[in-house]
Amino acid sequence: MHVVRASEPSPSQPAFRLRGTSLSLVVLELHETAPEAVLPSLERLLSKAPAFLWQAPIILDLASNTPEVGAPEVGAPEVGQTDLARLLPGLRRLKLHPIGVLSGPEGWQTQAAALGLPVMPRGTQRSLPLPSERPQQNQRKGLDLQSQERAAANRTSAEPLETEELSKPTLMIARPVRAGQQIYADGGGDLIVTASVNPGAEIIADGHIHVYGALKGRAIAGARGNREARIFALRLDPELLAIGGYYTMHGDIETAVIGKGVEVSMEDRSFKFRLIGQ
Amino acid sequence: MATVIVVTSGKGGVGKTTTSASFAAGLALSGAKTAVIDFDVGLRNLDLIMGCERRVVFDLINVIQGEAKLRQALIRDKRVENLYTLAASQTRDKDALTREGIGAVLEELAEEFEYVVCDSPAGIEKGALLALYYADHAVVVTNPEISSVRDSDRILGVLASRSRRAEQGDTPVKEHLLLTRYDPARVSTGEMLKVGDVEEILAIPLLGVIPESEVVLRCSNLGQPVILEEKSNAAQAYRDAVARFLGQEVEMKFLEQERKGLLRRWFRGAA
Repeated sequence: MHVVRASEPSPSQPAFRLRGTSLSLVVLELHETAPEAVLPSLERLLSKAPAFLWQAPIILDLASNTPEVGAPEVGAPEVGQTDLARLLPGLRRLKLHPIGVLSGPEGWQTQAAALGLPVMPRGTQRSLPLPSERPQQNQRKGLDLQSQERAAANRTSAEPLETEELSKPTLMIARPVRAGQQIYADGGGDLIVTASVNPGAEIIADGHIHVYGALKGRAIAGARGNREARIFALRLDPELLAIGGYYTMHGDIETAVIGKGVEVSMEDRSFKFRLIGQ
Repeated sequence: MATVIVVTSGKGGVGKTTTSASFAAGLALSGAKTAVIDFDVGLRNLDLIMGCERRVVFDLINVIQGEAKLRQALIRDKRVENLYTLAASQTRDKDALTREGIGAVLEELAEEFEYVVCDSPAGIEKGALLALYYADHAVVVTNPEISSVRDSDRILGVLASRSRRAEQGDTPVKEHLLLTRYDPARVSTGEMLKVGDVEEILAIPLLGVIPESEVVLRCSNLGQPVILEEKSNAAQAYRDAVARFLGQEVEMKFLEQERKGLLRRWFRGAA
């Protein structure tokens, strides 16, 4: 039998490949570190929906207001160290798999490292420092025309794309979204459908939604509350539209835009419809 | 390897069993050895439409549970050569259907048959899921009305996610739209959806349009596949649909209201 080992890759087929990915994970935010304080209430919560987090990988985060370890003091107090060490078996008993901690006070990171848990940088932290004006520029990007131009200028200047942009991948769907199907572009990303969204279907995105076809189902943009999110459709005829938690039904949409190419946005808590591609 | 075709719709009463019977008979008439299987355990109908209800000794469940050999359960059609029916059980619970069991039956059928037509039950429950699981082609039977179109849309979504081809990342199940009970007169008054409207929503290739016809009910009661009726628009439409399935180019018929000629109108007035 031929076995390919990592140490002896065959020339035609390498034994492994490194690739980047971004995953959605559950974070357990701790306001206390003592297992006695955390575990009983967590167990009660999980017992309500046992399947929800069954065998789920989780990441531990120390809330910034946590008294014991939250203060930025150097060197971990003995008590805190045993807290995390004692917490892990308890979590595993509840069928949760702690796979790492988010970066925090040094004491917290030392404890985690001692237990073999990797320390992960926060989403907003970058491993490389970036020019100081860039993040500001990026914050309001992509909505009004002016900043779109600025974004375009950014790209043409041959600078690498920012990591934050790369961590919000756009979900592309090339098949019709059919009745009963639900598609969610989470992680802050946009959703592009290059076919129709049929009645009874539901498309959701944390960012913008683009439909290059008829939008006849439900479309929910800015699902985590982003009211700047927009919905674009080649033929708008939806059952429901929602942006940043506000919604409108088919009957409340002005008939002049139904069936047309439309951009939908939210201004002053009301929906704005603008014909596009005329 | 046999080609497995599921006839499905989501909604009930749109003409799945009628279509399964005619489609299987049409394929057999083309010279291909064809088996048609009833997956509607508990509500078996296919044997009635095929006119072999009095010849059912063993059924699909008996074969799956090893109580009968496949050869014993297949009922040879008396009118059409190469056509065989495998009936559903009327007395068993549909839990007796298993994915492995169906897989084994289809594998054995594949040794001898060119086409296997699976007549799906309505709904999107176990029976319907099993009927479509092994499919290579799906004939989606739809009536020109909004709830039937919605259910067909739903079943197309299920085909794209829960068939074996979808689960194994194989080339997707080939989908065909068959519009049945089409009445051009009611379409022109806006009571029924137009062919184009249905095509636009479902976005799959149109295999055929079967006109509404009283022949269908008569054939059901006689236990004869509609396609065998010589002078009927519905039968002609089924023959055309089968021909298209086999790769021939056939013009769509019966989409327009039959024009009443001056003479006919005059005669009707006189009569």
